[in-house]
Amino acid sequence: MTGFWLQARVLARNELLVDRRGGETFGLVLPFAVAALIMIPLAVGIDQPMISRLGLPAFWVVTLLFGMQIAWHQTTSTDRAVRDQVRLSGLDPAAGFVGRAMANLTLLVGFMSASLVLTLLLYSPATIENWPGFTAALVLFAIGLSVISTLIADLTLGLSVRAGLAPLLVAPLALPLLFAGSRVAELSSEAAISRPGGILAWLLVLVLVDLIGVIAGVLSARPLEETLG
Amino acid sequence: MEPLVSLRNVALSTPSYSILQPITLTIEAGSAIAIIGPNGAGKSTLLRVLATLAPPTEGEGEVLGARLGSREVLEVRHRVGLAGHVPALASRLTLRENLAFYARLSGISADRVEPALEAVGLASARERRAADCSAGMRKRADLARLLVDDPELLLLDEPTDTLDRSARVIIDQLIQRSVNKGGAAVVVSHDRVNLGENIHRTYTLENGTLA
Amino acid sequence: MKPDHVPMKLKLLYAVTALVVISGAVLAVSTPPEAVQRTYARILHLHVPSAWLAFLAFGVTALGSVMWRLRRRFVWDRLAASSAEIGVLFTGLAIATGAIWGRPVWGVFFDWGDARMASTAVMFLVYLGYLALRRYSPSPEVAADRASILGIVAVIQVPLVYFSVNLFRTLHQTQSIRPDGSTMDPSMVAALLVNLAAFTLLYVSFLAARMIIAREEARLVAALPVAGAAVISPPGLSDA
Repeated sequence: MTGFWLQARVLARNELLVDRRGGETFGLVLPFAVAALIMIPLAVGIDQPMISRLGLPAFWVVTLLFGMQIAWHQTTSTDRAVRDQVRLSGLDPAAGFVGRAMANLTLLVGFMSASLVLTLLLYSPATIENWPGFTAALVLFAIGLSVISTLIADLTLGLSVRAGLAPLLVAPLALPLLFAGSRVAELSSEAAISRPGGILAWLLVLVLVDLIGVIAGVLSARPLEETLG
Repeated sequence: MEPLVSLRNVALSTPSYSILQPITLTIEAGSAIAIIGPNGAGKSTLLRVLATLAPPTEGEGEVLGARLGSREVLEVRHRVGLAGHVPALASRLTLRENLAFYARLSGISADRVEPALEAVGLASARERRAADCSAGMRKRADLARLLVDDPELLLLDEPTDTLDRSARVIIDQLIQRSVNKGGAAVVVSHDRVNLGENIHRTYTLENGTLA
Repeated sequence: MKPDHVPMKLKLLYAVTALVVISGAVLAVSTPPEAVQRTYARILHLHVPSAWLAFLAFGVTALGSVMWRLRRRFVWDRLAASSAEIGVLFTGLAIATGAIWGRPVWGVFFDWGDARMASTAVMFLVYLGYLALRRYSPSPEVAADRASILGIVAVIQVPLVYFSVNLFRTLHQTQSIRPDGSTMDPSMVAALLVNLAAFTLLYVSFLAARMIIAREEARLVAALPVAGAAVISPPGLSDA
């Protein structure tokens, strides 16, 4: 039997390889996100100040709505024969959750990087003055979303309405991430040096959501595995 | 010596229908059994129960010493090898990558993959994606996976489907290996003719009932 | 449920509930109009108890979920599921009554900038998802297992919604009845308390009825003859 972290890494690497071959994240999900980021200012019109204000909120929303879909394409959980064999390989279900979340996180970071660059170019939002705080928020947001969407993907596995049900569950649970991320972006755009405490509080909210998500995912991994049948 | 598998009135049903009627079955170490039956008899489901993947809804049983339906099964699963109806191959990965993934997950050296693929006649196709392989090739690759795993309890579901006669020798070898090292093999099929010569005992499964 | 199948204790509960609900309604209608909001304030006698009932219901869902995980007896799962259904109903009622009250008083049906409103709407969605997860699970065991996890995680929202008015100073008022006193007229407080009691009894009544129905549904399914052989084997294949 293999160690927990080794199993998680092996699983994560496999999922990343499969995604790279199939191109789901960067060939399917990202183009939709790009289209959304382009459509929003077109719908707003020529009000550039409004478009600038909308930039970072649009980034967070697009990241949440499209980023959650990354978890939906993981072969080690969706292909039944592969899933059976992964179980028979002696995989610790908690290591499986961590591995899938790690793969999601990696893909999400790439996805968010591309989306952010596009947002900065298209919307010209207010200059970020506190990059460390903003970067921390990005990373924590990515961790939280990857963990929550992995948990919900596992919860809805095998259900006929999975594709429709999962966003209904992920979006509300991930809203604290959206809220906190938006507030950090707002505070990072002002002369935030004068109010560092404000950012810290919201970063703590992100940390808390991430922790709750990780704990919930790890603790529920074994019970969920037993429902697979 | 404790039997490798012991099922006592094990049944499996869903809220809508019954799949397996109460089954009592013992599989001793060093034995190979066959279970034949028509479509819909519950053969694949019985294999999933033996593989500890589907907990029974009634009855009790142990597989490799682990109680079915308990968390003990997590400790023994890596000693079970299952070749199901559908080969367990991710379509976008090559045959070698698929087998190496499972090997690493189980803590087995990935060096065993290439000799196994060679043994099943797929050495030249190892870098071919599973999606680009024929059904027979994917089945052979699944058998190669079992060569890498070398499980104690070998479970084969319709192993000769899509395979030519030369590949069936591999199945006989897999069964013989399991039996010789004190393990056991269970082969299910709808057809007696393709069972091979290593089977010690044959059961029939019909309408979820074992006889 | 036919009247003769209802146990006597339950009939008594329903009778007491009806009495208290009627009393609460009468009190709500007969209290003097509020100084600023006038008669619109009366809707709060529906809105506040609905919200309270939702919190209670989701708390009980979490309790039922924990007990299912520990004991794996279906009575706990039925408790969790029944309570969640009631909670969703009354969360919807709280949102609707809040919107009806908000339009004339705040000028908008719904203000996304208000933390209490936004968090309540989110909670509503999550528990709708909980019910959908149960509905589309392939078997009662899978539904119980998966929903129990969500039921335990989702209850975190209840204190967040309740304390949102303290954490974020926006449109929604903070708690009107606090340990150190109340900001409301005593007659309004009395009416509100009676309605809180009425809704609590209503919750218990609904829960009892729903759990009986759920138990009968489970018995009905268990009593169905199993489909047995789905495939009839052709002659000759069964010879060993």
